[in-house]
Amino acid sequence: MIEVAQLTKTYGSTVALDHVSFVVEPGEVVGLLGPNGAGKTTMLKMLTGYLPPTEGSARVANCDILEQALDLRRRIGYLPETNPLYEELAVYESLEWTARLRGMMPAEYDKAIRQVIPVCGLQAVVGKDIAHLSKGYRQRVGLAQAILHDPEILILDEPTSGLDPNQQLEVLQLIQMLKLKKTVLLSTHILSEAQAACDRVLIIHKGKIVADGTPALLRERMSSGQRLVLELKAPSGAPMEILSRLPGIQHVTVQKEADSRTVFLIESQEDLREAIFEATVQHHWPILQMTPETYSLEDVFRELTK
Amino acid sequence: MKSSLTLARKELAIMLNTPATYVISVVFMLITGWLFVSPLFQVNQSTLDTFFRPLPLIFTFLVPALTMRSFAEEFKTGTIEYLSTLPLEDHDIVLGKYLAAMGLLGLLIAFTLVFPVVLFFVGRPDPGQLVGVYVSIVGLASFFSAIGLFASVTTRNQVVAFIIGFFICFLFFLLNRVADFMPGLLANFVRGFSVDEHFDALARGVLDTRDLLYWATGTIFFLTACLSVMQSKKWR
Repeated sequence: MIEVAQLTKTYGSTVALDHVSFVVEPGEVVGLLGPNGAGKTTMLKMLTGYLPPTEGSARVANCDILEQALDLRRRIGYLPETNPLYEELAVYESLEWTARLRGMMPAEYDKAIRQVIPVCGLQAVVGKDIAHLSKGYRQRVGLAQAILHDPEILILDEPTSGLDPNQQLEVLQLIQMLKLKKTVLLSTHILSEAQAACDRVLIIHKGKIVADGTPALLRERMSSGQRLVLELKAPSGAPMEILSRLPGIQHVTVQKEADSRTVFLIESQEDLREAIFEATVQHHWPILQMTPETYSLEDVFRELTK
Repeated sequence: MKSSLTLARKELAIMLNTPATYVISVVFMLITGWLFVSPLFQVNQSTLDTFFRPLPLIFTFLVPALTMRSFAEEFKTGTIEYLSTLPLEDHDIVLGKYLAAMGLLGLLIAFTLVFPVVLFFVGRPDPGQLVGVYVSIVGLASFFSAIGLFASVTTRNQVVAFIIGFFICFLFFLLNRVADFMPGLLANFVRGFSVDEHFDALARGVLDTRDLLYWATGTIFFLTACLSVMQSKKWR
């Protein structure tokens, strides 16, 4: 469980995080979404005990980030944004030293390393120097280091940053697999990633949380009414007039008009599909398409962070 | 302490994976070997004096060169974030890096033990003085390692770390010479801080607690300064 209360971080006169509060329940996968410079990394660095907050408090895995920093670090796995690795070491050595520095016993870490290598798909590079690995493999080594000690909470800062689409998918699948056993807080600015991997998203902008909920809930909140794409076999003039006069209509715009066909975007407070159908039948305008349009997480993100 | 030792072993493993360590070590062995061998063959004299007297000046270059990457590289590559989010106290990290530097220097110093062994074959060296010489060398290595680590924690650039480390070590090396130009009481005070003064005293075979205290306090002072700088960087 992660409990954040009024967490604030300032660098001189710059406010990186401004009285942020939220809770991540055990077993949840929460995505911290926000544009670059929104304060995501600062937040995660504070939750790992690496950066001290200017104000406020936070408890991660029941440990206060300031008072019980050492216990906290034992119980979390962290993948920093830059994924720093010792290039002089081979993959196995890197995992072995991480385990030793975490105080694991040889028998214990030998077993743990054998378990994480296939989970992170590192079998092919286990003896290679990290300096010679591709970005994708480096990211996997970083993830392997983060989960080696089987932490109850995983904090991942942009885990798919710089990866190609296939590698991104692999990392997301790995997170999906891990979420069965762990609480995961990950930061990203890739919306599809948040939508695919997270149970809940927190949108952070200019150091403040501007939205908190499941991706579906946020889309729902964003769309206070209904949106319909309507394509008629008719010129735009008369239908525009009739549709605008329908009760409950908020906004009608012409998206496209060509070859006596018009595509309208209709925004309304309630479901007006039946009324629209009747109006078009009455005026003999054949309906070629009538599709309800939903708001994407991208729309929500753009609206909240512009 | 266990964490520091584990970290020291990891640091040592990384140092031994770095070609620069071998280059620096070979240069050190060539210079000290030549310093030891030249009087043996040129003037037929068996002595350790020519080997250990220039050591403070040699260590002024050697130790900052070996320690310059310890923190600077961690800050440059960001691995300090990895280290700082492991269950290690900050002082474990500083102590681990210090022990690693001492481990490598200890290895180099151990190689030079071949010189006194040769002396036992060709002459009659004073064992008491030999012990004094090696205590001096270890004390000097410890003090300069702490300075090197302090220099390394202040910057992200290894070359800058070397220059800062060299400058501080050289300052302590120069104090004895500077004191020659000072009036009596002040000269004695300044000499008290000079590495040469304490190095020579111990190397004569006289084990004086003041000399041992000098190396110990110098080491602790710079390690504490290193820890403070490391912690202060987090709060910025």
